[in-house]
Amino acid sequence: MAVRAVLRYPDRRLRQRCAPVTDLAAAQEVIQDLCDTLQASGHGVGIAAPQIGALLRIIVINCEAHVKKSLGLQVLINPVITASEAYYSLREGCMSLPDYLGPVDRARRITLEALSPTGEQLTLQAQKFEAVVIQHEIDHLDGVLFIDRVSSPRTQLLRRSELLKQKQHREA
Amino acid sequence: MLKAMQAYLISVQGPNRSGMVAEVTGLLYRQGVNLLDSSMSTLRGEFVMMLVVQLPEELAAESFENLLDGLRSEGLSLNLRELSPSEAGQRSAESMPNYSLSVLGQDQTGMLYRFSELIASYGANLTDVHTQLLDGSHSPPLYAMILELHLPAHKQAQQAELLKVAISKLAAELDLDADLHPLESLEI
Repeated sequence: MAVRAVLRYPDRRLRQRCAPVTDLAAAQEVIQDLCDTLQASGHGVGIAAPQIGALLRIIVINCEAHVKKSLGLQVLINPVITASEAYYSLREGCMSLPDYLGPVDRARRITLEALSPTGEQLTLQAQKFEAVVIQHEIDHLDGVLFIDRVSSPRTQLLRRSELLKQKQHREA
Repeated sequence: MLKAMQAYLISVQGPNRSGMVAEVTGLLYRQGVNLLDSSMSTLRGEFVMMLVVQLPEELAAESFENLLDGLRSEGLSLNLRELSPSEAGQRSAESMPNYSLSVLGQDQTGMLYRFSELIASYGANLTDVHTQLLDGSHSPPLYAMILELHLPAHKQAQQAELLKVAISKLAAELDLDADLHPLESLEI
């Protein structure tokens, strides 16, 4: 059990595509370290293996402190999003890129499949805050940082005016 | 102690064309001028650039200003203002918006004025303003505004509620849709 240092950009490991986990037994130490590091970060709601320098497709989330009916602490191995819908924008920040916040469009509702640490096949549904955290962490597994997805004010203006127009139509 | 470097706010604008950003930033780069924050955008046929820059020690303010004159002869309009060390040192995070107001409705004169005046009267500071006349396929044209604002922490909860009520009232008066919502951020 160990708390590891969270890598910060420009560490090149944050830009690499991670390999699927094929040997669960060998991944247990990384899983434990991810859980310990997330807990030690205090405010952290999610962490991906490359953030502690392990280039494997593992994420750990825990949104308990922020979401009433959360999925709790979840270790998700080889996670794949199988359905997503209803995009919206939140300002995101990241432990690996501190001092920067930017608006990112993400799906509000997602369905995902993953393996549990014991090899059980999981199908989970997440929404809003928790869905955003999962999408953010899965991006890390592909070497994608949230800054790659920041949307421009102009895009937001057009999108929000589109939403308002739809609302007007519904109310009319 | 490090000598405080001279900083300027430059605004440059001109008819939008390919290569404009490269031309302006290239000129700065060749003189060793360092770019801090910037905001640039197209407004109709114009391209408008606002940049906060830091001069290298060896570049005198006068030569810098002369250098920028070169841009004027390229058909660009230009303005510059020297910033005090405290102005230049203020980090963008300190003016981070915590609420966003979106307004949409039939275009009418004074929309931004009425809302910005109201916002100011509640002690909030506008941090980013984007407005657009949607005159393409709409008849009569619509007007869309996104105003991001900062409500100081000590005023936030109560003041936001009061401002929300005042905004709804103004929106009803002008027959517009307006929505003030907190800008959530997620430190992951």
